[in-house]
Amino acid sequence: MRNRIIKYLSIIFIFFSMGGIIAFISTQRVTSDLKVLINLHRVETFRQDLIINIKTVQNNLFTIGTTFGPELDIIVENVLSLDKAVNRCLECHHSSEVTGKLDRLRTLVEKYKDALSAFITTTANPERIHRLKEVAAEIGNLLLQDAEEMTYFAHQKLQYKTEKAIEKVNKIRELLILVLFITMIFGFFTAMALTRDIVRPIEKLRIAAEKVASGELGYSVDISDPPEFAHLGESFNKMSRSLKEQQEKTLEYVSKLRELHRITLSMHLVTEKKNIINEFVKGVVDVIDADGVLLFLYNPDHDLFSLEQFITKKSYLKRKEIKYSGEIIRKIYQGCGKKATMLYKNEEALRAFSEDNFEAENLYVLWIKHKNKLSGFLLIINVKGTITGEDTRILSIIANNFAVAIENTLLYEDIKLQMKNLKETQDQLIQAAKLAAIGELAATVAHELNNPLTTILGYTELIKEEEISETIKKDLDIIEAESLRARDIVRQLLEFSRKRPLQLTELDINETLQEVIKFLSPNIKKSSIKLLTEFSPLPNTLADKDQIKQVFLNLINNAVQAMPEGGVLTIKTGLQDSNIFIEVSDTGIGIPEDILPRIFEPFFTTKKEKGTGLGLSISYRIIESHGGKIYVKSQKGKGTTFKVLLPIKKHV
Amino acid sequence: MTEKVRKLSVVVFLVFLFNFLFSVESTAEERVVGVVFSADIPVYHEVHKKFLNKLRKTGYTKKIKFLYQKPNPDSLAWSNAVRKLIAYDATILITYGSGATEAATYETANIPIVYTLVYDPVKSGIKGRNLYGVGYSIPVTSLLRYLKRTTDVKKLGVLASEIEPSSKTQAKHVSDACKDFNMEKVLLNVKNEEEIRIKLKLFSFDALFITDSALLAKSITSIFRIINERSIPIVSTIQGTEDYSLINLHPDIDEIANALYRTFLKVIKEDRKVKGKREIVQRSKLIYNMKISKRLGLQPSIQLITGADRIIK
Amino acid sequence: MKRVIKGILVSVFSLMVIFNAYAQDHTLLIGLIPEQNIFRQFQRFLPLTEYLSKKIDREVKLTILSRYGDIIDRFSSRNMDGAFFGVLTGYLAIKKMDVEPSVVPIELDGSSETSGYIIVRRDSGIESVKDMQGKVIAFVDRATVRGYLFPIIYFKRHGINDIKTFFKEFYFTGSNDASVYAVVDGRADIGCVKANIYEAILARDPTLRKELKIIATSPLMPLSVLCLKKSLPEKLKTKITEILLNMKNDKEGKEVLKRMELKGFRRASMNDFKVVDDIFRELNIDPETYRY
Repeated sequence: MRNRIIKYLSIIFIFFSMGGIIAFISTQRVTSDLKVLINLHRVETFRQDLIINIKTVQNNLFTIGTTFGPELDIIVENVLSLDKAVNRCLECHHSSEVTGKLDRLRTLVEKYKDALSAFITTTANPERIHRLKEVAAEIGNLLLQDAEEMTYFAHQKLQYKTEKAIEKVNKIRELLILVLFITMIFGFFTAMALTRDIVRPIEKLRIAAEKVASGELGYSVDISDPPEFAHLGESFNKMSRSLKEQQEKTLEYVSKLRELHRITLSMHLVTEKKNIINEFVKGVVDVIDADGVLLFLYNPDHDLFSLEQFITKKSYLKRKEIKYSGEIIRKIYQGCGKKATMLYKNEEALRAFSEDNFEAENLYVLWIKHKNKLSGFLLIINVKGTITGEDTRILSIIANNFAVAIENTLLYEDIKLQMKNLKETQDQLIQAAKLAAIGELAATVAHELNNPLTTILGYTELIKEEEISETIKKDLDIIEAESLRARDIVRQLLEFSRKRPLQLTELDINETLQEVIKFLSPNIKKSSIKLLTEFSPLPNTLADKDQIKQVFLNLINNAVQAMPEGGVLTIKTGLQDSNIFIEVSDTGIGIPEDILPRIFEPFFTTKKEKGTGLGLSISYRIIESHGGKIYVKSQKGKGTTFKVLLPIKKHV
Repeated sequence: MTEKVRKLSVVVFLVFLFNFLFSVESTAEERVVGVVFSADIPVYHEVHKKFLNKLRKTGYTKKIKFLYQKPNPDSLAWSNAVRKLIAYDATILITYGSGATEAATYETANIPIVYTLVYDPVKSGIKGRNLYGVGYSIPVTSLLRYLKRTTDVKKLGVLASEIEPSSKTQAKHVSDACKDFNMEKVLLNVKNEEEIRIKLKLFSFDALFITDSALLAKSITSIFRIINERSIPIVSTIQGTEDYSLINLHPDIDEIANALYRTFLKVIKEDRKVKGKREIVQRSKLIYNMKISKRLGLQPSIQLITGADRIIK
Repeated sequence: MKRVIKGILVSVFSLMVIFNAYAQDHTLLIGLIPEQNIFRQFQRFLPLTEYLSKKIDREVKLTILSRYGDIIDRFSSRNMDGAFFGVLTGYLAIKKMDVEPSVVPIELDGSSETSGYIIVRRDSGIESVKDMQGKVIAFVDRATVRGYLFPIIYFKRHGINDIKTFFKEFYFTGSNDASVYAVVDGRADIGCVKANIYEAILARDPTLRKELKIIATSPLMPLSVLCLKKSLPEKLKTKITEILLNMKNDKEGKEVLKRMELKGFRRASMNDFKVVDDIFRELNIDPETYRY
């Protein structure tokens, strides 16, 4: 501030001095101009002398006769002073124009002198002397003309110079006034500026304080100028900055917490394992700025840690399938004291991770533990910046939450599976009970019906043995046939309800199937059905041959009946897991979806007149009694496939 | 004009009448002398007049019949003129200027030829057994010197007639001297008036030297008209062109006329004893044209002013 | 009382007259023969007058003697005390008036004398006097030895008594330059000129050397001779002569000589006029009555 005041005052001083110097120089210049003017005036008199001289000589020339008296000396004197006058002029002038004119004047004077000399000294005939006189006179006239012209010229120059000088004086006066005025203005502005310079920083500070108070933390004032205020401003700024930093830290912490909350919440909200993993990796990426994040989970079955999910900025990974043996990982885990750790390029552990798969400057390993057991880990490739304790804590929390969430999903899956099993068992129980009830009822009904039917048939036979008309005979045949059919159904019912013990023998399924096909081939051919068989070699298994045969009969018959217009019948056998499978497919009309679950129920039939509704139920029971399973797949209009699974059983 | 023509026709008539009346008597006494002017220019008339005046005093004029030819300055015209005179039985030919003289030497080797106003006849190649005459020489260097002292000439145009030996010789002398005076020469060789006009307009120079030539003397007005536009001076060596020239140096006409008279007498008297068939006049006259000088804004040197035989004002 | 006043007035007046006369007497007037450029000549001699004035404590003034012929008349009419004469005018002055030779200026090249030439154009064909018959000759002036009297005596010695009949024409050019250029231009066949001027012209215009040649050369004669009036006090005359002779030994004098472009002065005697005297005798002319 002090410096500034001194500076301002110096400038004012310089202005004053400048004014003074200008005044001084101008005065000098004007004086020299005046000198020049005086000189010019003097030169002007020279010139007038010159003209007088020339005129005198010219007059002499004409007044003088051919003989010379004392006038000759006068002429010489005049000419010499003329010469001197011209030389004197030549001495002072320097402008090329004037010098040129003077040179011409001088040349003329020289010529004049030559001519005069010749005129004076020549003695030859009067004609020539006269001629010389004329030439001299002529040069004299030219000289006079030139000198007069120059006088005019000089006169103008004199006037011009005088005007210039006056102009200069006026200019100087104006300049001085201007300097004075400028100095005054400058002084005024200096005072204003000084006041402003003091008031402005204070005002700035006040505003800044208000801003900070109103919550605009970190607001800085820009006071560079008076150093005293600059210091104050600096302190203020420091204060404001530290306030802002604190606030930012808090906010950042809050935001991290919020983020943590978001990630953990999302992890817990999601039940699918895959989604949890996604959320987890995404969450980590959100928290940490790095080139990539790789998640490995432990597979206790194979004792391997395999890559589950990753997010990388660039295509860091050369392979997408990475597995580390449990042993190596556990060693590293132990090596870093079971804590999250940062590995650097030259460290062995980093090489162990990266192998030839990716390149990393650094690698942050975050262990995922559950119930004190290592269940996986997270590799964060090329972390930008440093990972603070805060970061580690947050990451650990995320990891823990992740572990918990994963555990939860496992539990959930488990429950879901058990519930399903339970329901299946329940369904089977119901079916069994249902079938048992039907069987019982059927047995009773069959027993009750069997006796009347036997009576009907006996009597019918008796009547037939009598002499009866042909018409009655025909009617009797119908009665006999229908009664037989009814007895057949009754027998089947009895069969169905009767729980015969299985007569197990070692059975070649393919062979059994061939026998059935052979038995049914006339039917198949009749229906113009194309038969395709794909039999795989099968091991023998313990089964009740008759019952199995009945199942195959039922299934193939059903298929043939499903294709009244012809089609393709495909029969396949093979091994599936530890079972033998038999598949019977038709290209028939298919079974509507709504009735598909009911087809194995007893007395359920789609064939109204032909079937008893017991075929599939019996097949179902037979397979079941073998410990196998039967499935149906059907698509309306395309066809139906029955698949039988039989466990391979050997003699114990 | 008509007046002149009438007078001329009367004179011609009288001459014819006279010839007719005294033809018998004349043929015995009279000799026919052919006179050829290289062109109809004043200087030839003047010399011839002076020559006749001299001759008249001796009485020879009574015994001589002069036949005149004043053709245009052109080689063919000169030859034709000489042939005509020979056809008229001229016993002596007087030729004025180198053009006509050269033509005469081609036309006859017997009839004596008395030439005059031929510049440096030896160098101009004017020779022959039947040749007598008056040559002249003037110091062209003097002319160049005065010119150089009057105005600073850097490039000098030299106008020369290709058809006249005198002109060519003089042009050569001028060209040779140019070096001594630090002048560059621009030689303009011309054959006719048309060519003069073209060449003068085509080339640029600071001053023009007109060499001795009947063609150039005849064309002096048109030359002057062109040169005057450029405000540059002309110097010349022909009498009669001084009104157009700043400086003119020409041979003394009186001396030439006297020499011609002397030579002619020798020839007509058939005085073989008189040695020397050729006389060279070396005296010259220097004329300075103050009118042109003033117009060009020039100032002559004192030597020129005092030395000049005449100053045109 | 009146008489006293009258007496005083008379005595004062007469004192003034005496003073005036003394003052008049006090100034030394020296005449200069005009040569080429009189102004240059005048300026050339001005330093000498200043020098002399200082040395003899008398004012020294210069005056121009105008045309060659008027010199003697002007010398007496202007009441000069001395003059730098030419060799002929000096001779005539000595013969006609009471003057005596004092000093001769020495040029920078050491010469104090020069001769006269008779010149012709190289292409004129003139080799000797016999070729000159019927030609035109240009003299400078009757009042010059080299420009007129020497050629006359030269022709006389070659048997030509009457130039009017021998030459076709003769005339006076009025200056040495003019004579040279008359020959150069062919306006005259023969020219007479002072050697130093001829050489100066040739030095200025070397091309002329090719055009001119010298037929005859006269004996050497002084360029100019300072002659003083005999009536001047003997002491003063001696003093002036001595001062001029010793100028070259004096620092100030040397400076003046340098400005005058002269080497110095040598003593003059009647011997310097011998050539002229001989010519006058041979031509049998009385210098007293010589008209020029």
